[in-house]
Amino acid sequence: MLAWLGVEPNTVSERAVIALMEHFGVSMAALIYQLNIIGVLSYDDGQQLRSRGVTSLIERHRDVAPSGAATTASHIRRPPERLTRQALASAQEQRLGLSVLASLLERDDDEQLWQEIMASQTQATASTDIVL
Amino acid sequence: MWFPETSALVTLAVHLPLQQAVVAVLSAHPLVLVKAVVAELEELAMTSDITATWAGAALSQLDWLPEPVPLDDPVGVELAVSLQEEIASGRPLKHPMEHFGEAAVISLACRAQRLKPLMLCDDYNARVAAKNHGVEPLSVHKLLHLMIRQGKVTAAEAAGFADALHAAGRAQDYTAQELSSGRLARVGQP
Repeated sequence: MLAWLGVEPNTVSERAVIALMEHFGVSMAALIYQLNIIGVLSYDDGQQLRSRGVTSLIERHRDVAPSGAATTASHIRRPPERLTRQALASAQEQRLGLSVLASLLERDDDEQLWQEIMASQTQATASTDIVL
Repeated sequence: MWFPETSALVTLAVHLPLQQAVVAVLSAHPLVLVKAVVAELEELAMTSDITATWAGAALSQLDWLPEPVPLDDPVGVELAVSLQEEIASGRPLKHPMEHFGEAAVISLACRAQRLKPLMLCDDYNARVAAKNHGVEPLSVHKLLHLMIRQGKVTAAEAAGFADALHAAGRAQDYTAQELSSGRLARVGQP
């Protein structure tokens, strides 16, 4: 998995951790948690890495962490993907108006968005049995 | 029973011949004008929005409608407030009454199912909310489609009305063929 870092298979060096933090733009805590979840880093090894301090580790491996992505908050906020997908499905079924989806996608609530959202839907004619 | 709503009355005010044609058709049916619709028109007329002039014109064209009825308080008002939030979907209101006219219409109409309520409405999000509360919504363009199908206007006349709305920046451009067939995209739905 980490062969591109030149490390041994199934080992996670501190250098690999710093490079992965840079690559994914995540904190050390988040990365260690994920590495633990997928079974390549034990809890104790993770805690040991954390005890060394993020700043000093990044300083030591500056060549694989040049941008500071792992220690800089991006302040980008995105709605949860599942929420957006649910809103999209509901808008296509006309159980939800378009304005919620427009807000989630940061788009204008206009004809163009409606066409894009409904492109995959069968375009019904405006039929009704109302007698005028 | 027809419930004309704020956005539709604004649309009708854009082009007098359109308003006259619609009035000629709908006057034959029971109509309800909700006080909140008038209040929203009054609020809209005081804004600097492009629709302010049309809202003012709409206020001077209400004589074909019966006396406005108030919303029952607290049940109707509470439901309308919640519907207003649903239609606004978290967007800030341009004025306190924005969306309240359609919300009030849905609130009243959805509890009058026996009367088979129909809402004339040019706000897509409000039409979706209406449909989901058992009120059949129609945009002005969808009404024009029905009027063509039932011989109340010709397709050419309806296309002329649609052209006037498009020229005023009130709607997309729709051809006589689209109005006849009912393939009206967003304004034909729901």
